[in-house]
Amino acid sequence: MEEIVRVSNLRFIYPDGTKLHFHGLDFVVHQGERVVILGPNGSGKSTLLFHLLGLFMASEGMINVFGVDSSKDYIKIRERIGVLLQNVENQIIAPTVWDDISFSPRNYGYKKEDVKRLVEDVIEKLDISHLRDKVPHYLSGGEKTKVGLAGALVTKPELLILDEPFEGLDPTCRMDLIGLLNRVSRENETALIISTHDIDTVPLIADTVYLMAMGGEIVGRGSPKEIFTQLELLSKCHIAPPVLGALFFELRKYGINLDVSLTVEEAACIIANQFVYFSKEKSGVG
Amino acid sequence: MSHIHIPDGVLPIWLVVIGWIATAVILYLCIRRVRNVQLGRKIPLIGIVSAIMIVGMTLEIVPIAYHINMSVIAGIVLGPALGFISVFIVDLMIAMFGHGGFTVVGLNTLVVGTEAVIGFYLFHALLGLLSSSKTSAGLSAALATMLSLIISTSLMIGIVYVSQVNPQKILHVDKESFIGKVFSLGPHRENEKHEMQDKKIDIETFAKTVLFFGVFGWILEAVITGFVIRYVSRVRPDLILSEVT
Amino acid sequence: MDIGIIDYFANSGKSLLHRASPLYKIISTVFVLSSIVITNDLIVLLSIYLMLASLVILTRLPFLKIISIAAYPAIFAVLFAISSWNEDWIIPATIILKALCAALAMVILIVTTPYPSVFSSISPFLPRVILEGLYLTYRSLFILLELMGNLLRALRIRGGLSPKRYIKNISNFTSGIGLLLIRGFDLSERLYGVMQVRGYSGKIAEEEGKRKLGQEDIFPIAFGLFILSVSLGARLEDDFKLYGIYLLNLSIVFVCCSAYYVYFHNTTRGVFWKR
Ligand SMILES: Nc1ncnc2c1ncn2[C@@H]1O[C@H](COP(=O)(O)OP(=O)(O)O)[C@@H](O)[C@H]1O
Ligand SMILES: [Mg+2]
Repeated sequence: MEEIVRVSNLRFIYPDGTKLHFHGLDFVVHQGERVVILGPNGSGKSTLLFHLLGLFMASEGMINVFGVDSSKDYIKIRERIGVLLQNVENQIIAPTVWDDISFSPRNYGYKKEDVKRLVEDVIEKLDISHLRDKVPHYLSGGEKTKVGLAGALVTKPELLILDEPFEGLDPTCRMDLIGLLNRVSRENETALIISTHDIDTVPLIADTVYLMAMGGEIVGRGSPKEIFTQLELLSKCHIAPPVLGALFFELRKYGINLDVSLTVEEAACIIANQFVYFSKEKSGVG
Repeated sequence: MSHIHIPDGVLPIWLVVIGWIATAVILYLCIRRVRNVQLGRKIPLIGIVSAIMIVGMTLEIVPIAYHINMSVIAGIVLGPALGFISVFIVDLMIAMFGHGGFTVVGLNTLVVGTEAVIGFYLFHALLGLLSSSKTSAGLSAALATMLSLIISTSLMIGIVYVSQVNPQKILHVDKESFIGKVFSLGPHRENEKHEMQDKKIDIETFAKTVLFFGVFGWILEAVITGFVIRYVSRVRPDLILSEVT
Repeated sequence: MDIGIIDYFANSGKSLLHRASPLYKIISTVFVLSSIVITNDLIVLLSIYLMLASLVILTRLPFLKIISIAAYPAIFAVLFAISSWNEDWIIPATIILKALCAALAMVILIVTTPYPSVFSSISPFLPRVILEGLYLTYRSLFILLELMGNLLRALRIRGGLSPKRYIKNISNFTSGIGLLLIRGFDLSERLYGVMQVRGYSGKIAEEEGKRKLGQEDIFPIAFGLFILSVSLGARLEDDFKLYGIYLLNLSIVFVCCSAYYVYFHNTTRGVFWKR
């Protein structure tokens, strides 16, 4: 798979003197890959994403998005990238939902018919056609997120960047959103970069997880399973392992060594198999 | 452009005092007018509208030494009485930033407040004429802004004219008697004879400068006001069309 | 717009001037402003400016930053000065200097006095609508500045700002001002609501009790009175003006003394070139 993002050894200092240094591993994203950046609050996830969006200029290091330095040439690649900011309110611009979703294509100079078709498409896909004439600022949190996402997806980007998209959503909305993102990623081969501090959603959406410690150090990279089995790494980042991961580790203390699994279905399956195995053994002895 | 940026101490004191008194009287009338209105909901609106005006006024468009006032927005959104109060607040606060002189706050409130008040009435008159097309709110606001700015700028030039400010006249005594003595700068000049002529030339140059640059400013401000009011009318029509004070 | 930094200066400063009571500082500022109004003499104005500069040094805040904040209004004074240009630099210079002095006096007041204290000091003279309006305007400015940053960011990442498409950019940004108004209003309203829930009843900052004239308060009053009497003297007494050059020297001495006191007397306390 082609590499579309690479960030290496970036250094950034906020005007008030807060220093961030994204060192350790390189941050790499491939075409169609679903990447999660996992790190505690204040570790620098948003800062890293802002660099990808060309909003910040690093004082040192290398950043490459779709083959260009995004801090210099973001204009060249902006049509290939969609964004959902941490606080959706901050990216809603226009007075109605329709106007807002069509904002980017209109500004990129698409033809009227094309704009209409694209917006209809995305509205359909996200199931928000009933909101089209409403004022986005007076919608519920979940609806706002969907409007923001629609505005990001409307131009069919190859890379979708989402900053803590699950924050503040109730469990149903959250599962909805996860399903939606997975579908988008599958259907359009859209790469996802999702920052979060919420471990429980990670296994459901990530191909690759990057683990970020305070100050911006990237300390780990791997599949969710690989990351969640490295307890020391997790505690270095002040992240408690997911409940299921912890369960399997506890079981080891009782001498029950099972494959770690991070989704409820899989875990149930493994444990059930083990039971069957035990009971067979017992009846065999008896 | 209608904002007077005459530094403290250039205008004659009688004019400054009249400006303050007139502003005080109008403020009193405005406050009386809103006395019976539930102000709880309006205060935050005054706050944000004034804040927007302050930001607009302190962002100077350098090449034409112009800054936008957005006072017509205040008039339309807050109504004439609260709009005038808001303009006073703005003038007071930017004077605290050292912007534009403290003594002229009274006169400035008169001029800019005129924009807000006239803008409000013109907007509603135009809205009545253009009735209910989709763009009417924005268009009316833009036209109202253009007209109010022309009126207020004329008022401003008028004020400068009645002030008979001829810096030459105010200052020449000092120049001759002191600076002339200490530094002996420049030849001794007889300006008494040319006084009347000088004054006329002075106000003319001033008016020309102001009007020339003003045209760009008026158009810009009219466009901005139009866009803003169009936005507000689509998202919160209640802010524009509900009963106002 | 430097409101953020002004607010920071006013709240974080620890100098003599910061400690003086707001009311006396306001009175002193009024004295200085009156002096500027009545003075038409370039040398006296220059002296006043230098003395004010020595006050800036005494605030122990970044000197150049404050001078530049206060220099801003001069841009507009230049317009006026040009219109009265007459082969002669004295008059335009006087006009610009007047603007600079008045602005500096005001700026010194507000970088040493938090806004709410200024408001509550003048509260007995202002009706409640205006007072509350002033306070909410002040708070709304911070809300607005943050919203403006967010708006610009949103416009950039969503294609609202493109190189060379000026008309489109302007129309996007100005529609954005409408958005700022609406969102700012919602936030401002929430703020006001919270103030009321927390028992707000018309008083914002704690009112300074009738405290006695302290050491800190004498300084600004004395300063204001000194400048006022000098400029009155210069205005009324023709002979006084002959001493203008001494006045100028005196003010330079002021600057040197305060610079010595703040920057060299105890070098760890002063910060000169920062920002
Ligand atoms: N505008 C800012 N100015 C100064 N410091 C900031 C700013 N934004 C973020 N920071 C600091 O940078 C660090 C990383 O912040 P951020 O990237 O927002 O973290 P995260 O998104 O992982 O929660 C934090 O210590 C935060 O306090
Ligand atoms: Mg963040």
